[in-house]
Amino acid sequence: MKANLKENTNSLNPYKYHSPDNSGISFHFATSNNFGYSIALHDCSDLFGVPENCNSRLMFLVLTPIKPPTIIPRDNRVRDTVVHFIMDFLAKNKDVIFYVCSNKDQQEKVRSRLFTDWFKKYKSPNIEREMKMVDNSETYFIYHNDNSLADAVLNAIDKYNSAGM
Amino acid sequence: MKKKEIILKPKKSIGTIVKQLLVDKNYIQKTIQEGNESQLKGKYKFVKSL
Repeated sequence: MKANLKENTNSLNPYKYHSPDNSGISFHFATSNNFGYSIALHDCSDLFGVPENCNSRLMFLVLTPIKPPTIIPRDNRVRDTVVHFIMDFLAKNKDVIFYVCSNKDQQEKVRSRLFTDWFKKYKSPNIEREMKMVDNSETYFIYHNDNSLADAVLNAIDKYNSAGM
Repeated sequence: MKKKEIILKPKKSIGTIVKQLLVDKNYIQKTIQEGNESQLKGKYKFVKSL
């Protein structure tokens, strides 16, 4: 499984990311145009009631452009860095990563499509990416295809949606 | 190999959790963009290393 991920991520050309001052909050990287980005993973296992003994966590991904200009120049290495970060994390951890796109503005839809394109291009045979609507929010899950926690979360969302809650 | 079944016991409804996470995301992004990342320490359970 790890070999396939490595083969897949070898085609990427990511920027180097690091935890500033070992803050333990997020990982930063800077682009060649000198824009900064932060990637944070927040463990939401408690919130979803994930049993402690299941050896998997539910990680909420937050990507933040730092002091972004009005127009961000296209830079494929940003895509490569984010995809590499996620793939590397999943190669080392049996966790589920998810992110949520709200429908508050048109930009969220644009970002959602952008993320979808990124992952279509770098899809690994062992990694699944699935979207579930929760109320009006597109919620995306990225996980190893043998991850039982992902099944549990996706089933819980289906149950929530079918109950019309 | 048969997958182990996991039973979740969410603390709130899934919809409420996702709504809360969107609020959290906006707050986390705003705090990081303002250069006050250290203020997030202790408020969320972030991954410390890869």
